[in-house]
Amino acid sequence: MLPVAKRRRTSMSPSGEENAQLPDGADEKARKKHAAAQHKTQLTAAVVGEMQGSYKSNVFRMETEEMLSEVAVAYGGKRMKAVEGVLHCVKALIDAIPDREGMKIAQVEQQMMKRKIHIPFPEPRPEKSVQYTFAYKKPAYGNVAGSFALKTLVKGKDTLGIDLVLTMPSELFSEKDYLNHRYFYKRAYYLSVLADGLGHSHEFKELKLKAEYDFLNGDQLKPVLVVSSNGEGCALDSKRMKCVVNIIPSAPPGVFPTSKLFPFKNCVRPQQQDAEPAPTPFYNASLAAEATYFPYLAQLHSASGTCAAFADACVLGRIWLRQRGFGGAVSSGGFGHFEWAVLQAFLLKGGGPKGHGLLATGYSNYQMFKAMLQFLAARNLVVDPLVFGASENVKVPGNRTPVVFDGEHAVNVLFKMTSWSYNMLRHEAQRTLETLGNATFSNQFDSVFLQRLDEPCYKFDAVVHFPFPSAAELEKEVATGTEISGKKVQYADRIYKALREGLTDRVTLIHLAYAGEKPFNIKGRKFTPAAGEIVVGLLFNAQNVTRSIDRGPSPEEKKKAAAFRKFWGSKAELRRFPDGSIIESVTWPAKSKTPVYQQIVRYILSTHFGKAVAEGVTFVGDAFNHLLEGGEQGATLFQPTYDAFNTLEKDINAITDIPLAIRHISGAAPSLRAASIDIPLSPSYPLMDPANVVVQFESSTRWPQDLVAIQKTKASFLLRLGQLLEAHKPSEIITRVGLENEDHPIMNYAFLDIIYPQTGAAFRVRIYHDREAALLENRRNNPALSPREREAAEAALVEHKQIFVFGPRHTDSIRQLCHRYPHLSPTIRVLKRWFSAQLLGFHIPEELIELLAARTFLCPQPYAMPGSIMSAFLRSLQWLAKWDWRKDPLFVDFTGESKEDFRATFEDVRRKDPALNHCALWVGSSYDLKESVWTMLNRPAKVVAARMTALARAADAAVKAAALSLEPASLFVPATGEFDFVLQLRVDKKRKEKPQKQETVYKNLQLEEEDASPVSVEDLQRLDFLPAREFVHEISKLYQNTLLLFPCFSTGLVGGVWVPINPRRWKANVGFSSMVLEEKDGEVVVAVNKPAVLNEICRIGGEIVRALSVR
Amino acid sequence: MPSATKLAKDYHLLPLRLPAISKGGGGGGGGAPEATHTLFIRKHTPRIPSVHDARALYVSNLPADATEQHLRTLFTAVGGGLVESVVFDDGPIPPATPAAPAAAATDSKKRKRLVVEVVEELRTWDRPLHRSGSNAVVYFVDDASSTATLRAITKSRKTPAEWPAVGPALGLARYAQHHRLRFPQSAKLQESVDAFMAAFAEAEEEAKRAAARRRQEPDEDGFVTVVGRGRAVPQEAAKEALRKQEEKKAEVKGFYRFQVREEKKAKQLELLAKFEEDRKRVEERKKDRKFRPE
Repeated sequence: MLPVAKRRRTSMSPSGEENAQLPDGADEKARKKHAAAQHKTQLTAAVVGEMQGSYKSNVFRMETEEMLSEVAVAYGGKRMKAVEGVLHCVKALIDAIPDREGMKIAQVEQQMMKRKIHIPFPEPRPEKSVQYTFAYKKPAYGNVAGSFALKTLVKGKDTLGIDLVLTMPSELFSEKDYLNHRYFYKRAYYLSVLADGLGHSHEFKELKLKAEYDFLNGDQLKPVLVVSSNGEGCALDSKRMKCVVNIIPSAPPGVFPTSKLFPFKNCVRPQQQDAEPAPTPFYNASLAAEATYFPYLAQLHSASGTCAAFADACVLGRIWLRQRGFGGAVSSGGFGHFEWAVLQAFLLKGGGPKGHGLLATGYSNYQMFKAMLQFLAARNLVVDPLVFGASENVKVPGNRTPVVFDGEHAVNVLFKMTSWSYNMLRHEAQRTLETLGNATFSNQFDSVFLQRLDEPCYKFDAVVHFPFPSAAELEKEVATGTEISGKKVQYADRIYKALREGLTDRVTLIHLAYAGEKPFNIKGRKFTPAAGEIVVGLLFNAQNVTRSIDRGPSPEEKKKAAAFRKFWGSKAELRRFPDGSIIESVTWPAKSKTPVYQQIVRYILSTHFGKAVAEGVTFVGDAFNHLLEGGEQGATLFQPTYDAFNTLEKDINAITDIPLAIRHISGAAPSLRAASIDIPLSPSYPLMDPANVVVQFESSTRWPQDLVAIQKTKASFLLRLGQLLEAHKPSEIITRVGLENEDHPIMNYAFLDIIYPQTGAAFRVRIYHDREAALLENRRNNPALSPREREAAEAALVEHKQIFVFGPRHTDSIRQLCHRYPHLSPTIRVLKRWFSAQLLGFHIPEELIELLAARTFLCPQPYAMPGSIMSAFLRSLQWLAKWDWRKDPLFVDFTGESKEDFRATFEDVRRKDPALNHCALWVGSSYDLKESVWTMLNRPAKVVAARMTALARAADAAVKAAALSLEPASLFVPATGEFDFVLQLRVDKKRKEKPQKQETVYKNLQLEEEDASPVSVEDLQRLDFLPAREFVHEISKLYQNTLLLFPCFSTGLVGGVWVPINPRRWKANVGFSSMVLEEKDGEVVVAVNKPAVLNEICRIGGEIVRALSVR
Repeated sequence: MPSATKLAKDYHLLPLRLPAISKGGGGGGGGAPEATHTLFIRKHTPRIPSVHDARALYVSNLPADATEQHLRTLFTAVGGGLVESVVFDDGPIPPATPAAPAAAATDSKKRKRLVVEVVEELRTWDRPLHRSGSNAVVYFVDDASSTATLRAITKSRKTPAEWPAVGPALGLARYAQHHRLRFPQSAKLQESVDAFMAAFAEAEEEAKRAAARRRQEPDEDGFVTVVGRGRAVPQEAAKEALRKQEEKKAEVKGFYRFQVREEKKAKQLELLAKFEEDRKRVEERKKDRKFRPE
């Protein structure tokens, strides 16, 4: 910011024109002052304006600066000085290693055997018959390269790697050494001499260092020596930061002809004479890259010299990659910070239209970062490689990996990438660009840079994992002598190809991951790959994933059909389809309990990789589907309820002889928007809970002007409506009018239950009168009324809005959304189950939970659209854990347009109520921009919201800790440790229980028993009889100053917390059941009489309270 | 228990023994153990005194399940005084019909008549509960029994009185009864609603008549109150009109040069303000150390 400001200051001296605006007669001083002030204003405004051009926003720019300063490594600091000291010592030690004459392979091996040093020859090991000699000479040049030299290191939990690159003298090599691993064999010997020299040196041990072999970026052609600390007091380690030094031998420049190393050339000659020499792109690039360390370092240096933001953009890219689990190693994708930096340097020179640079030197770090992402996202480097300095075609036929080719060094910069890692990279780049483009997203910066996004359970819709075959089997599985480095990669590649072919368009992305190799001992016998797991992440295409038939080619296309038959084996069959075509196809049993994709994965693995592999397969996240009745199915489970509602609508509309015509009938219940935990109408439940329905009549002037009278009039209407409905369908409809809000005469007084005993559908109708809201508002704002009355009016107004105004709107929005996203409905239900299991369901409004789930689908960034319950549920939970509700509202945008005012309203609310006493969570949506209607009246309170966040964080941490061994049921176990007392209530038997014949106590419904109907009279009488729920509601109201209850009605468990009340002076309206503590000077100090309160609660509850335990 | 007999403001303590509750059924844990509740009692001295004050006691810190019957039994047991009636202080908020204040303004006789006319509401609880720590005024049959009771309380302070188990059943039965009462018979409900509407209509009529009378009768100073007859203009319509007026005003935006200039300036200032706000927000987050990648 500073340099910009300076530049502006020189170019924008106050001109005469500005001064002319001052009124005449003002004295000189004032004029100067005014001019200065005006200048400052313009200056800042100009700075602001400029920033807005090159950054996303000011906040984004400032956040970027903060983060960059946070991760910056202090190069001039004491720590780094010490590290540099170690580097110098190591370099000196290396320089002191004596040269060794050229020897034949047998002698070399013997010599090293004596020294007990392993020579890390790459596979296949050199034959005994090779004639060339191995020698060691002091490195021609050695220096630090990589990000340490470029000063783009980033602080973090990972160890910092410092690359010490040694150029081997060119005398050691001959021109033909590029062939048949000869260079790599010599390099391995060179390295073993270094290992010998360092490993047996005393000084090295005195520095508390140890040396191990590792593979450079997992490339098994290129072992390196890793120098790390060997215990306490080493200069490489400190509390905050750990460093390792990688000693990398490199090829002298110009030894190998670059023309021989182009990707389509063959450099490893086949052993059989007659075989066709196949291209060896990986080998070639790996070899060519050996000579590029210093040239690339120079290039990056010059780029950061000419382009001010280059280094910062590299750091941004580095952080971005690390958060998504990308790294330079083959096993972590082959695209790390080095590849990012080199690509960025190349794109400064070219890659744009007409060969111009895609990036400009004047770009800000954010612009450069974003342009890089755009390049990665938009350009398919597999189909359309980026080539510099070579006119030849660098594509290798049949290769599915990306190419950024540097003709000067004949190296494909992205040679370590696999096809799945490249797809993943592009996918992530696209998601990040979506995030940056999504205006409703409030914390873009966090999700782009700060959030860790490499947890497979959050990232993928389904995760499949199975162990690698043992080393011996791997040997058998993968043909030796092929050119990709590492057997695991080859094996993974085969799996990827098979899955890709088998799952077709059911998935949009397949990603494979496995742990890289660990460093191994320099004195060991031989390197053996560690056993591990291969983790397959899948992203589903929601439309296709459940499809049960795969259509193949027509049998007339002989080649394709044969390939199809070969791939699918016995599963492939010729079928005739309804459209008349006869084609090869594969069918899967759709009704089976295992999802289709799982059947396919198992089948493919067992046919192509052996039964043992298929048996070792574990599918993660499947258990989420079994948490619910009806499993993964979406809104279709609610279709019978929707149908029942349509019938109700028709029946009500058929009523004609009531004084006012009916204008509108709308549902306002979770069961009418596919969002209730239980399925309302299913065979196991004969009768559903009455679903709220709002009926609006045409407007009329004959309604009374008084709130109480309106309620009574409504009751009258309902009575009439009930009679008419019963008369309309005498045998099919039963109605009853119920009363509510006895203590609040201005609230809704009566409702009408309409029951269809034949289907089991039940609805609760209330009448919406539009004048009510205005009357309540007047009453709330009427200064002549007492505060108690005004509070009551406010409460009534909120309830009126929730039930009559926003209830139907919310129901419509969610129902439509459930239709659009098939996984939304089950996600809402699992989330609700979580809230209820964690004893939060009583305080957190259902609508809030639904909006929370809807947000995950409407604004999926930084992830892709969730395609399974697991991903949607875990992401919702994660968002909840991260939600800083003090500073951020939840806004759910159904219509797809952002609302700036919403944020302003929120900030206004917070300014007025900084202690959050009126509204802790602010939750809005497209239909509710001003009020946060579901969380009004402090529901939930701050303390509950804090508990919600704490529980979500704990769950999120548990999921992350469990990783692939995630047990979903463990998230649904309530934590009762923090409660002061726990009540066990009698669980309200809702519908499952078969009613006993004798219990005909309540005869307000006179019914004739019908054998045909699945609903009995007792069922009807017990409908909505929920004593435990009623009890908890009542207790919460009676003791609202004293305690807070956290009930779960499905288990009957209730946690209770005392509201902290300090002992205080007694007065008549102290507001809680008091107990005298002490008496002083005629004043009595009292505290809450907890035993008496608990005794009272148990007395009121009677047999509803099964047990009480006090901590 | 404290030893002093009298508390500030003349309160007397009456300890109550709440019997232990055995556990209601299966499951671990136990029921609630025996507990002692304390009533705070004094002579009733309301701000506006009345003739009945002498025979009334103000009872504070009542148990949530207290009923008139409880207090009756309790005080008979303690001091032998006969309770006439009990008025709890947390009854429902009285429904305020628009007619009532108008009637109240005229004279007290009519108000009384109106109160009498308020119809009996259908109740859904046979035993309403009270907020924890609520109060009641207990009226005894005569002054003597109230004084005697208070004296007895002072004497028997050390031995807690038994909280009587009277009144309609609590627990599940109470909720079942509530469930039954919630769904009254249609005829009964209709009757209640009709009665209310009739009373309401009459009260409205009465209010109208009172208003008409006021229009005609001059007051003490000989003035006649002017009262509107017709319906008031609905608020929404007024707002709409105001909005339209404002819209008209806003139509000439950006026409004059000074307007353009001012707009520009305002924009600039707004930008600056936003910049400052953003800066503050980032500073705040920096304090929370939120800029370190996970």
